[in-house]
Amino acid sequence: MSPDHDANTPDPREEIIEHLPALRAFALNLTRNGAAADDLVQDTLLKAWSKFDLYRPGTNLRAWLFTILRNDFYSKRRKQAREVADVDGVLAARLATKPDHDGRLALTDLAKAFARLPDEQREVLVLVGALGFSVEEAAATCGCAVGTVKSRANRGRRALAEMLGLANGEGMDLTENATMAVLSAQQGSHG
Amino acid sequence: MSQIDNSERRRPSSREVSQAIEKQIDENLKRLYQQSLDEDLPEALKALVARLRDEGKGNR
Repeated sequence: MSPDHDANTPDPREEIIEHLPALRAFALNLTRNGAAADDLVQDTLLKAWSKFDLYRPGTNLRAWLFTILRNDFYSKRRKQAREVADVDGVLAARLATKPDHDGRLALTDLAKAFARLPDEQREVLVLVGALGFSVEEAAATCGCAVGTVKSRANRGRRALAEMLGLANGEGMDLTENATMAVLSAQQGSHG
Repeated sequence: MSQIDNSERRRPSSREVSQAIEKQIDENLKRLYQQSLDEDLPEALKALVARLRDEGKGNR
């Protein structure tokens, strides 16, 4: 199963490792459970590593990896009763352990609202909104049409805007005050 | 804060959020997930990576 390479050339599978943090973030969003997310990423890594000969060089490795993870998740979910979800979201719980800056609280609100979105809307918003996928890349990953991705993302954003009280063109608390506090805090922590 | 050129701003329908809010939501989702992206990999995953690398070297 090992790819065609010798000891003098880097193993092309090394590129998989670079995507593990993003795969964990996506898995966390799908499973809403830290331990289940880590199990899902390990299974994805094993499959991708052992089946790397099925990957076509030159095509989108990130989309290939995310598709493996997503298919594995839904395959397992079909077989198992769904685990009890963390209703406030694991991200919100993690954020709650951090210092209470104004912006942190705003992000906690966002995390809680995000956790209430339907699975298919959270999925595309994580890919397109949080992880920087193009809509075409997200469509390939999710096995649906580009228009479906756009529609789900838009419905998700609209629901978030409603839950967070962001009317069109006004009430932009996330940017005006709270998010600036987050940015200031981040700059301070890195400086 | 951020200014958006009115010529580029589509008028939002009742079924979609404005581009400004869309951008803000996406930017804040990025910040929300940045913490996960910055985290160290769990030890079990690091161990699996190490094992796969070792096996890969053995197969060469």
